[in-house]
Amino acid sequence: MSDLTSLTALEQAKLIREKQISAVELLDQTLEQVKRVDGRPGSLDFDHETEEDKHKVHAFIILTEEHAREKARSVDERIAKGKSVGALAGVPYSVKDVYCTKGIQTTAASKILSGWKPPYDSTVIEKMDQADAVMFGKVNLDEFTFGGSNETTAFKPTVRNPWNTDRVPGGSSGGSAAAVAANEGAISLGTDTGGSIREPAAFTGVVGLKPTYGRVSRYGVIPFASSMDSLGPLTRSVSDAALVLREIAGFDPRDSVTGKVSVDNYLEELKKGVKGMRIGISQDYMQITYMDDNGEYASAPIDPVLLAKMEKAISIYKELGAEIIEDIPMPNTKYSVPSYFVITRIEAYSNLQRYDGLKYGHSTSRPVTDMYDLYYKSRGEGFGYQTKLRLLTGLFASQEKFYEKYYGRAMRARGMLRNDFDNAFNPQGKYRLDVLLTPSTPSAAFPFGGATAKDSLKMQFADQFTSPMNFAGTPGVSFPCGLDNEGMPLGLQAAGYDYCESKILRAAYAFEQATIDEDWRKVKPMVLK
Amino acid sequence: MAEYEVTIGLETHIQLNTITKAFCSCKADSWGDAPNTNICPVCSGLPGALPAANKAMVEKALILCLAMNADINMTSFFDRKNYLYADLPAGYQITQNDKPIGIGGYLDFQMDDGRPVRVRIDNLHMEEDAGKTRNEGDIRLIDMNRCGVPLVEMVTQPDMHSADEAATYLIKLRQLLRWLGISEANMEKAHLRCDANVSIRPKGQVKLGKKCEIKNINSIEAVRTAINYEIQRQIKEVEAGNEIEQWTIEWDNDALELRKMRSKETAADYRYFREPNLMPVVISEEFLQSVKEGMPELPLARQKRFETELGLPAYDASILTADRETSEFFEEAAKVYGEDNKRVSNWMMNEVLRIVNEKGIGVAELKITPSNLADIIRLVDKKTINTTTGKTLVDKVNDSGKDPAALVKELGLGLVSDDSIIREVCEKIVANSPKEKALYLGGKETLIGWFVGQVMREMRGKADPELAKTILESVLKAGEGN
Amino acid sequence: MDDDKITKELFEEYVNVAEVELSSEEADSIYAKMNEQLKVIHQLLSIPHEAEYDPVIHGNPYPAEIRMPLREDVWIPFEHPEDILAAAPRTSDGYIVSPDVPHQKLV
Repeated sequence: MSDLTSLTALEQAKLIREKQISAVELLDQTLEQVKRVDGRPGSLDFDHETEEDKHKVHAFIILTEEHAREKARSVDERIAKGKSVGALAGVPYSVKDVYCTKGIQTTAASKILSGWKPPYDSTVIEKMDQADAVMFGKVNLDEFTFGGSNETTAFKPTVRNPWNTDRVPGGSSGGSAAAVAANEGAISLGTDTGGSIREPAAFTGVVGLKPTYGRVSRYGVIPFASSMDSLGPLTRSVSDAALVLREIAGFDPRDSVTGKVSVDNYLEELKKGVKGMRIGISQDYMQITYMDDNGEYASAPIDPVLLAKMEKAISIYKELGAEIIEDIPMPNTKYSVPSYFVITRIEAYSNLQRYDGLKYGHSTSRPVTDMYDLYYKSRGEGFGYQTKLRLLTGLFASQEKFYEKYYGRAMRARGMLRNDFDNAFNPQGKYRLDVLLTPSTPSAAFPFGGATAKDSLKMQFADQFTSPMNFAGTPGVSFPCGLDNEGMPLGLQAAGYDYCESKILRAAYAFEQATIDEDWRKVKPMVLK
Repeated sequence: MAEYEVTIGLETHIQLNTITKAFCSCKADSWGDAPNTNICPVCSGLPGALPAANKAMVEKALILCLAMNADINMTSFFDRKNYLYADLPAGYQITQNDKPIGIGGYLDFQMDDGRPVRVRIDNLHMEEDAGKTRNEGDIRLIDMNRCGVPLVEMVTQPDMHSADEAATYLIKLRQLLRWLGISEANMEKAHLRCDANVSIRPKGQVKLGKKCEIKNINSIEAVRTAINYEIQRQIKEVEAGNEIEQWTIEWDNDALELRKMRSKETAADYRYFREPNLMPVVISEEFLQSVKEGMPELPLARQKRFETELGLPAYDASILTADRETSEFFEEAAKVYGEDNKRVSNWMMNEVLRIVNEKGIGVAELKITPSNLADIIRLVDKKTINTTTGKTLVDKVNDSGKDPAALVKELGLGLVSDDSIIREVCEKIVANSPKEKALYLGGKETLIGWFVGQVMREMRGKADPELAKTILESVLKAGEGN
Repeated sequence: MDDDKITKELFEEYVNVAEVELSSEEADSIYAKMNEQLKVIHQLLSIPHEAEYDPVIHGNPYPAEIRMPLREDVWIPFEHPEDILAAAPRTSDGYIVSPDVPHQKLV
């Protein structure tokens, strides 16, 4: 067989099930592909970036070849014996290194967890195993998912964008996005707390799905902000995203916030199309809103190419029989930025409390005077800059004297923002939307250094169209919609209502199928040329 | 020395006797387990693990709220209390801060001298326990087995005014917890722990003095000792012209000393916020109703009822309601017996509780049943056995678990009421005691007691003494003419 | 909103409570950034205080029919507690070892 790695998961699974290829063969080709494009893996023992490094993807922190080979063999054996196998039988996939994997190092891209091998698997890893998918490696991310460019990882060299290795892959699921874009596996599992699946998906021209909060169990995944963390797939096709969601979704007694809602056959649902669907557009998602130096709200336009892509998507949807509803008011979107900021920092601060150098991970080797000194030094050595910044900001904002002023208000603002979504999607309401269509990001991937430049608040802009969904708990899928003037991918987001992943996937799929033969889809990422 | 008034508030930590921990499926009770063997990713605070709240914890907390007359929050919230310490693996404790399951309430009880005391409750909240640490030289050893064990923390108002009142409150609370069946309440096993807030003020001063919090008081005796130590320490400070500083103090029960804790360990700001990994605890009307229906009658109510309805003296009622099993044993026995509750009470207190004390066991562990006791009392009433035999029969029934009547027959304990047998013995005794007979006939009638005693001795106590007396009188008088 | 301005002293206190050692470059930079970020946080104060919105923990509502029931009280032991202990940098006889925390004895 020729190049199997560029196939979708659905295609790969079919070939394996039909015994046209073996799972081991596919795994081998995938590992070959990694060898070809990925370069050296992210590591704590990083000295400096070489010239060669600058042309490689560096998506991975670790390859789990033995583990993968064992699984692939068992799939092949079962297929040979005519036994039943799972829907993803033999399909190699990678995971963001925040998913706990039993006996396999799990780092969250932080030095503080160096050497830690969890004694348990996350629920989603178990489910992927039951679907007979083959985990072959763990990919890089921003440290503890704190970032939107992958530059905050402690494991260097940092991930590069396969489309242009001078650009960031986005983040925090940057390793996932880059791996999938570079054909290093058809599926990678990411996490999304403010856009961490959708932003890198848009930046690398892949599909990234953030399901409803509570749709996929978070058990065994290292948290950022527990009231917003969602898990989902990054894939090269909408069908693959639908298939993976079907396999990993569902109520889990180990995650109390998962909802008792039946899981759709998302793959089947795709075929229903968008005819009769109500798709909304909101001006609040067509510009960047930010605080100027005087502390006033100001707005800036998004990339005009993106606006053109939006127009095109709208006309495609109209042609397919969808109804476009313009000017959906989402007036509280602007409040979501400070509220989201406060709540994520507070939750992140608390979630970082457990790393103390006593139970696992990094512990200082310097002499200590007492327990507190051990904490102080171990945490100081183990946490990176961005983690320290967020931890301290969260610690500041969570002071009891500020409870009502900051946390209380932010919780109320959350209710206000949620109300925008309720109004837009209420089936008895004025707008009765099925889908809200937005750009995924205000622009394409930026060059390295852009995120850590003078103003770290600029980082907020990249997730301005995605973080409201985390705040509201609603789903969104980013799908490729074309390239910008510099040949970098752009993404649109189909956002939906609680547990309505079928609808947003249908919208994404309809666009994908309507544009499947367009020229821009034939353009390959730089590293694949 | 000026006179001081003491003010005490208690924070009790009550370990609920659930099967599993508060937020994971590890067993709650690690007694006797090797360190760090009863742990899982959740209770040991591993990255990625998530809590899942135990239904039995909520149910038992609810029972306690009802028993304490507290208002129930039908929706309550779990919060994180953030602090770094070696015994807290996640760096935060899941607890309930501003919207706990129970608000207000009170516990009424009597001091030994009968003086009534009411201690008001501020709130009751559910939380998870921390692990155990102990010093060994300059290191601290951490055992996480206890991490995540479900507790209810119950905070009182500053309503106690002596170490004795505080100790009695704890004794009554312990009684109540066992009565409700929600905690083993064994202080030695730290099922019931308390922190005491202690302050003093000169008599007559309105403003409360600055309080110090004593942590880790783990026995009733320690409550008395530690509080009294602290009162003395505060008085000494004040008398020396010093200000009392608001300290947190640790009680070391081995060294019998108070130690000031480092300010870091007592940092005032716990940065509470909602635990995002858990849903609010929503108590449905149905759930509340079912818990209410399952509530037992409470000790004080039962004590009052024993006095008013069963006509027991206050003393008896108090003894018989010291624990739920005793009160239920008594009430069942009284019901079977059906008359003279005081008589059952006497037998209960003198015999049954004697065995309980001698053997150091609980009433629940006795082999003798309430209806056994009623049967024994009836056997005495009917003179099948005498009182002394009745008392030993209580032991024998309890040792063997056999039916009292059957045991009387088997061991031949029954009183002999066959005239002819007793008459035969009487005639023999009278014939062998000419001197005593003469004295008796000569007017010393009190000697009849001596004769009865002789007969009883001969018959090893099995003769009906009344019958023996009648027969003896007739035998003695029959020979008068000779 | 100057009352919330983070002074050097407060910053040091936060670092102390956070138990995280900073290099002097990190301290300077984070100190400046935190004060900058106060601007974002203070946008919160422009939020109209509308009583109709209750504080919420999660964006999504959890109606009773989808809410997870409380966990039944059934013991399921974790298979490998020894693996948890094995990850600890310092252990002794099954205990995790920490440096001590000194106490001050009261007379």
